[in-house]
This record gives sequence, C-alpha cells and structure tokens, in this order.
Amino acid sequence: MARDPAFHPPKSPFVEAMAIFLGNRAAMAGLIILAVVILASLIGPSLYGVDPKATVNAPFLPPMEDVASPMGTDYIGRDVLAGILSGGPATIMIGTSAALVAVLIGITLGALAGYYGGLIDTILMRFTEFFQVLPALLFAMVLMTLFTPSLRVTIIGIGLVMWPPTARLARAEFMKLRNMDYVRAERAMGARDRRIIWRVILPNAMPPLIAAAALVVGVSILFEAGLSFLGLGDPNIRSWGEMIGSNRDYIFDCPWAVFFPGIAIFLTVLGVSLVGDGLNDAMNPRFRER
Amino acid sequence: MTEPLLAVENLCVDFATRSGPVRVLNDVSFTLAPGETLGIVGESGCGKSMTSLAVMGLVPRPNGRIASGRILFRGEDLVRAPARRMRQIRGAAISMIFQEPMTSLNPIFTVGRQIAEAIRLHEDVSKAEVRNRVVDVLGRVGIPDPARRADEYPHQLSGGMRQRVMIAMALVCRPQILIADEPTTALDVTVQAQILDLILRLQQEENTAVILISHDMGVISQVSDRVMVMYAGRAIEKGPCRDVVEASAHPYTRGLIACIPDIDRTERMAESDRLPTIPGIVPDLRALGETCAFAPRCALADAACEAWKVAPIRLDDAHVAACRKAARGIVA
Amino acid sequence: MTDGDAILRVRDLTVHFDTGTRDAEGKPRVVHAVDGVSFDIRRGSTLGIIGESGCGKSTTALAAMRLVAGARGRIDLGGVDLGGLEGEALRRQRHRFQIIFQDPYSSLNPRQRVGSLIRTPMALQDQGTPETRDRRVDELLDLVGLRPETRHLFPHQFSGGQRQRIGIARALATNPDLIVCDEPVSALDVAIQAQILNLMKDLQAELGLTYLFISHDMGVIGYMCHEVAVMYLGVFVETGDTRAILAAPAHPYTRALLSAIPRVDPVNRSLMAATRLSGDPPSPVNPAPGCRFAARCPHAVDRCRTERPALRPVTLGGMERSVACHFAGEI
Ligand SMILES: Nc1ncnc2c1ncn2[C@@H]1O[C@H](COP(=O)(O)OP(=O)(O)O)[C@@H](O)[C@H]1O
Ligand SMILES: Nc1ncnc2c1ncn2[C@@H]1O[C@H](COP(=O)(O)OP(=O)(O)O)[C@@H](O)[C@H]1O
Ligand code: SF4
Ligand SMILES: [Mg+2]
Ligand SMILES: [Mg+2]
Repeated sequence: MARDPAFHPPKSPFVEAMAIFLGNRAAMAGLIILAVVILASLIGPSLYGVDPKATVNAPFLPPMEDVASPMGTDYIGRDVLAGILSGGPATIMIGTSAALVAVLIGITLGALAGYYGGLIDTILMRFTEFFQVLPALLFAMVLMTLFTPSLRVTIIGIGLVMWPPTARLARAEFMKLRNMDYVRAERAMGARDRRIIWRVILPNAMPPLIAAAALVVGVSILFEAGLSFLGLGDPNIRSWGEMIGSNRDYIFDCPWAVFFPGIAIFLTVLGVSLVGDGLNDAMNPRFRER
Repeated sequence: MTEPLLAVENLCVDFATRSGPVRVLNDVSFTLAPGETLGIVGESGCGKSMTSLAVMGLVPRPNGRIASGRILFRGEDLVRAPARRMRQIRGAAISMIFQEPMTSLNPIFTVGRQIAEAIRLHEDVSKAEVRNRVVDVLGRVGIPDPARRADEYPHQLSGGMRQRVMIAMALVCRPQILIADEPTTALDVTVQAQILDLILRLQQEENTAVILISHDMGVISQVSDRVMVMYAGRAIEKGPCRDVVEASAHPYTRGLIACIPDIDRTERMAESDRLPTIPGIVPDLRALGETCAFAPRCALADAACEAWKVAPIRLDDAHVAACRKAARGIVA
Repeated sequence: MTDGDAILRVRDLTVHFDTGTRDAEGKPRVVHAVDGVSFDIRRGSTLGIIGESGCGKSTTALAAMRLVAGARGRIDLGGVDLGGLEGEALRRQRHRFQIIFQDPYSSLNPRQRVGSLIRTPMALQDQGTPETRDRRVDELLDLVGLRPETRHLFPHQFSGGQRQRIGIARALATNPDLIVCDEPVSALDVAIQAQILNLMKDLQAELGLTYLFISHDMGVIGYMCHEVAVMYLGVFVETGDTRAILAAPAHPYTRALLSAIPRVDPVNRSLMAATRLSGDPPSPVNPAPGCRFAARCPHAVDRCRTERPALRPVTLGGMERSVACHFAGEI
C-alpha cells in the first residue's frame, strides 16, 4: 500500500496560534500596555510608598506643583498617583471577575440553547432577551441599592448585566458547529450530549468567545467606573472607578483627580481589547493558512 | 494553423507567502487560435486558475505578481498594458466565467441589471437597446421566458440557470476569448452536459476562442481541440486532444487518465483488480527547483531524471511534453 | 433487492423535513427528502446509492445511521431493529455501524490529535483497555497506510487524502458490521481518489466489510459497488446488479444519467450527442403526485403524472433489476 510521503514538522495548534499572536504588532502593543499596568500595580505601591487613603497633602493640589504629589491631590488631599498605583488590582480584579461571571453564565446558557435548539432555545433566548432589554445601568443600580455595596455585590451585579451578548455569541457558534461532520461523527461513535457540548464543541467555539471575553473585561471596568461615578460602588475599595466617583462633585476644582484614573482605565481597556483581538486572529484557523 | 489570437510566452507568477516566495506558475507557454477550444487540465492547486487570472490581468495583489513572461493578445503584451487598457479588454474582448455561479453574481441586483452593467461598462448604448440585448442574450443561453427572468434575483434561479446567466454576462459583449474556469464543477452531470453543450454551440455561432479549465479529464477530452496538462505550476504536456489523451507522452498524463474509474473500463475489471494509481501526493510548491517535479512519484524516473533540468521536448510539430524520456521514445 | 444473507435490511425509510412555511394554498411546505426507500445489503458486499445533489442520498445515509431526528421506517442490522431503539440502548449498538464523511476537513475535530481521534470510538464504546486501544490505533494507522508515529499530529497537518485515511481508520476502530460512506472521495482529486478507493476495496477484501456507498459519480459506483440504487427526488427509481444496470439501464433517468457522463474519449464524443435532459431536478418540497421524474422524462404521458410507479422486477438485456417506471422494459 502506498504511503503518503511529506510530513510537516509536528506543530500543535497552540504553538501555531502563539506564533501568530507574537507576530501581531497591535496585540503585542496591547500586551505591553497590560504588562506595564500590572507591573505598576504590583510593585508601584511599595516603590512609591504613599498611603492612598490618607490625607497626605493640601487638597486640590494640581499636578507637578509639589514633587511629593506629582499627579496632585484630590478634594480631601489624598495623593492621586498613590490612588492610581493602588487602584489597579481592585479595578482589574473587578473587571476580570465580573467578566468571568458573565462569560460563565453566557456560555452555559448559549451552549444549551444553541446545541439543543427548539423549545429549550426559545425559552433560554426569551430569558436572554429579557435581560438584554433591561436598562443595564438601571438594573445594576437597583441591585446595588437593594444590597449593601460590596466587592462581591459589585462583581455579581456587573456580571449579571454583561452576560447576554456572550450567550448570543455562544449560541450562534454552537448552532454552527453542531452540524459539523466531526460532531456528527461523535454522535455516530456513541458520544453523549454532555461530552459533545463541553468536550467537543466548546473547545472549537472558544476563539471568538475568548476574544469576546476580553471585551467583556474592558466593558466591566468601564461599567464599574460608571457605578462608582454614580456613587454606587463600595466606598471602602479604592478602585480607579471609585476615584472618579468620589471626585465627581469636584470635577471642575480638581479635574486631574478624575482625568488620571480615566486615562488608566482607558489604557487598560485598550490593552485588553487589543490582546483580545489578537487572540481572536491567532486562534482563527482562517488566518493560519499560508 | 491561423495566426494565434493569444500567445502566452514563458509566463511565471510568484506569490509572497509567510514562508517566502513561491512560484505558482513556472514557464507556462501556450497559444490559442480563433474559434479554438483549449482544455487545461490538472489536479487542484496545479495553477489552472492562476493561468486564467494572469491572462485576465487579475493576479491577486499585492502578494502575487507576474515575475516574467509575455501575454500577447493580438500582438499586444497584456503584462505591460496599463490598468485602463486592461479594464477595456476585460469583459469585452476577453471574458471569464467562474466555477461558483452563486458567489460570482451580486445577490442584491436582478440578473438583468447585472448583464446590463456588463454592456454599459464597454458600450455607449440606449436604455431600450440595452434591455433588448439583455433579453436576447438570456434567450440565447437557453433561459425560458427571458423577459421575466431578467427581473429576477440570483437566489430565485437554480444552479444551472445561474451558470447560464454567467455565460450570458460573459458573452453579451461578444468576446473573442472566453475563459471558463471549472464552469460545471458545481453542477450535476445532467446539467453539466447542458452547459457544455451551450458553451460549444455559442462558440460556433460567434467563432469565439474558448479556454476551458477542468480537473475532469472526461470533460476535457469531450470538448477540447487542444489540451494542456498542468502539474505543480508547469505545463507538462500540450498537444492535440487526441494525441494527449490517447498517445500521452508524459507519465503523469498517463497516470491521470488511468486512475479514473471509467465505467467502460471498470466493467471489464475483475473483482480483485485495482485501479492504477499515482503514488504519493502533489509536491509542496515551495520545495521545487528546476528539475522534474513529478520525478518522486514517477515509475519511470531514474537518477538522470533527478538531475535533468526540465524543458519541453517536442514530439512532433504540435505535441510537446516535459519528460526526459518522451524524446527518446523510451515512453511507449 | 431482498436477500436471505442480508446484514442490513431497511424498509420504508422516510424522512420529511417541515420547512415551517406554507405554500399559496396554506398547506405546510414539507421537504420529502427520503420517501419510502427499502433496500438490503449482503454481508461483505457494497450497495451504492447514486443520484444528483439534493436527491436525498446523505439523508438516507444519516437516517440509516440513526443520526436524523424524525426518520421513520425499519432499519434491521443483523437482527436488531435500530429504528426502534432510543437513547442508551441505541448508543450501545453504535459500535456496529460507523460512517465516513465526504469532507476530509470538517469531519475530523481540529483540536484532537490523530491517536485520540481514532481511540475515541473504542473509548466511548468501552472496548478494550487503554493499552490495547493504543496498540489498535497503531494497527489501524498501518492498515490505512499511515505511519504510526503520525498519531501525535493534528488533522490540519495532513493532506486531504491522508485525512480521509484517518477517517477510515476511525470508522474501522470498533470492528463495525456496516460502514456507511457518504461521498468519501468526492472532495479528492482523481489521483488521490484512486488511492482511497483501492484502499477501501482492499480493506473490504481483507476484513469482509459491508459498505453502503454513496456517490454522485457513476464511474466510482461502477468500480466500488456490487449493487446500486439510482435515486431521484427521494425515491429509488432503479436498483439491482451494478453491471446489469450499467450495461442496460432500464429507467429513463438512469439512461439520461449514464449518457451525461463525460467519458475519457476524444474520438467518440458521445457527450455532445447525448440524450439530454432539460432543466434541473424539481424541488423536493411537496412533490407532485405520480412519477417523480415525469417533469423531465421524455416518455412521460398523463398516467405518469397521476399514478406513482412502484419498483417492480424488469428483465432487460437478459439481466434482472427493479425499476420504478410504468413503461420499463417497453421503452
Ligand atoms: N493568494 C495566494 N497566495 C499564495 N498562494 C496562492 C494564492 N492563490 C493561489 N495560490 C497557490 O497557487 C497555486 C495555484 O493555484 P490555482 O491556480 O488556484 O490552482 P487550480 O486552479 O489549478 O486548482 C496553488 O498551489 C495555490 O496554493
Ligand atoms: N435538516 C434539513 N432540513 C431541511 N431540509 C433538509 C435538511 N437536510 C436535507 N434537506 C433537504 O433534503 C433534500 C435531500 O438532501 P440530501 O440528503 O443532503 O441530498 P444529497 O446528499 O443527495 O445531495 C434536499 O432538498 C435538502 O435541501
Ligand atoms: S413512469 Fe412515466 S414519467 Fe416516470 S420514468 Fe416512466 S415514462 Fe417517465
Ligand atoms: Mg481553480
Ligand atoms: Mg450529500
């Protein structure tokens, strides 16, 4: 029997995806931004050594006026740079945890709706639509006023308003993939639904979902900022959103106390979405050809 | 032979890829006379479509480029022709139909409007005149009730009807050359027979020269006057249809014909008989040099073949094969 | 086509798809993809189904594999009525019948290595131990002409023909009684097609396999199949010994199909002189009563448009076959 010659060197899809990702300039820029943000959050506070919660200087001190507070101080004299450096972990934590909540709910419901179709799909999609037409901010505000604002309530609240788009995306992917021949082949081999959904289809549906999840992280950070701006965040946690929120009444007296956290949020969201886009491209088999 | 309408000389097309440049067409030459049908046959990826795109001036940019060679259309070199001139020629003097009739038609316009566009791009004629010609050409390609069909959208037509519309669009400006790239590959055999019949009938009416591209040696042998067989970017055998099919000089051509499960032949086969095969798979174009690309799969290859720089060997004034052994009569 | 020695017996297989829309008269528009199809396959032989795209070949294959919801009819595989089984009981039977798909690119999970792909059916059916499964993977790769070391590679690292070999190895893994092949070579170039067809024939001779083999290419059917069923718009119009039908086709559709095949013959250009069918196959949505072929048949008379012809035995050219045409044997 003739054996086909010519073998390409073994390369896993993961290794190939990494190679493409590393060769993507925008994604690398995003990665560098994120690395800087994370590094600053991790070692910045100890290097800088100023207590972000204490009044350390005169209030309303503009940036560069006093070398001790290069980004100025806010309305009660807290150091803005110290707030930025120490607010990173909380902000990123809220963003990623909320995104995780949203993505878990979204993928679960979307997968079931897309795989089974029919009545299950109709019911789950009605449910999703209900959440989608709810004004997100209003819904979150109700949640935050019903429960005492805390880190956990904030995360769950944001997660609860963020999941419908992920569910729709997951559903569309599952509807497409459930008709692939390799899924049919699994059924022909006697695989149970549970295996087909979680072990066969889900891994193949991941590329767009990961990219979408990166976007959800970004949007969650923005959302948290919005909640804080409205005074609905947990006042005990110094996140960037909280910095903006607590200074909102003095926005014309010390704009820098709002501006710098805003820039920090912008850069982080930009970094996350660039990395997300890059991941999507790298994991999309279409870009792998040639 | 009359003076050629089209003469492609030593055409080379390169593509830039992530792993370096690839030569997808290598030293391809052929001619086409008025009214003649040239069949181009070969396995997928051998360069059939690229040959036709090069003639149309449509080599995908920026990655692809014509590295060398000439494409002489009535003496004018299309490789050097400016973009404006190519637009004039495309769709008028030389037109093309593609394999996939669904994606080649714009879904949001009626088929009549799309054919009208094709006319108005090249000719300055009145609206009424355009409409008349649209209905006339739809009728000529065998579409029943052409006046009504002209106002339908592509999705309202069957695959065979869509391919007829594509043919109508290609022929409406009375081209001198029609390039049909796998025009029936997406169609069923009964519809394929209709479409091939149509192309040949229209060809005779207008004395159009046709380049018919197909991976199906059956189709090629049934309709071509002359045949060009391609392998890995090269034209490995060229000649009159009968010579190439029945007295193939290149081992690849012979293998390609032998491995077809032809009903007339398999009828005589015993249960234990097997189809002749060409071992292995087509080579990676990146790994090719100036020697015979078929040698690793060729039953006749010897050490001299591995070293031989490929060149067309002339068997008679019309039949050429790029096989070292073709010249010496070693090949039966 | 009934046979005492049949491994698979299918009776009145019917698959209708409701499009969820209604026609001008308010009747639901139903696709009659497969409409009362019956056939037997002898153990160790190959039955081919040929027909143009959309005639219901794949739906027949998937329904025989119990992969279509809402299919009706008896599917008797070696004494077990698969048509009557559901859930776990059906799942437990699946090692006995396997499928090879047309598209070598979409039929293998891109995230599974070849070894795992071939091992999966055995694992899902609890066949053997992890060690014996690994040994069987190597054995199967060798059997289909791939090097056992390739079990560490991913599907995209193979060519189309090699992937089809992997698909064949996977289908063979559980030693099935029946392998359903849905256009297994249609996506391949002729040279590779010949390699795969030969491989499938060798495997059949070596392992005594039974194939239900679907193709739109009469040449491939002629080479592979002992018996053939010609399908048109959801029904079989002619069935019988392949050579008998190729030598003397009795149904007008079979004749048209055969004459439309472009033979490799530059001298006798029969294609251009062929008895040509006009038009495309009509839609399988709410088909008209009478013969399914009547709209394109050169012999159709009024009776053809009202009365549906049943498959009945006809002798032509000294050879027997079944034909669904009122005038079979006379025209
Ligand atoms: N955009 C491209 N970039 C790189 N290579 C290409 C591109 N388009 C086509 N090719 C290569 O050119 C060769 C010839 O392709 P083509 O002419 O389409 O083959 P055919 O029509 O004979 O199947 C193939 O090997 C193909 O991979
Ligand atoms: N899931 C489905 N829903 C609705 N119609 C379908 C479905 N699957 C197939 N069909 C229709 O059934 C007919 C037969 O299809 P198929 O069995 O795939 O044909 P073939 O394999 O012979 O090309 C076609 O008209 C097709 O459009
Ligand atoms: S029954 Fe009538 S329409 Fe049908 S195939 Fe026979 S002659 Fe033709
Ligand atoms: Mg092509
Ligand atoms: Mg099919």
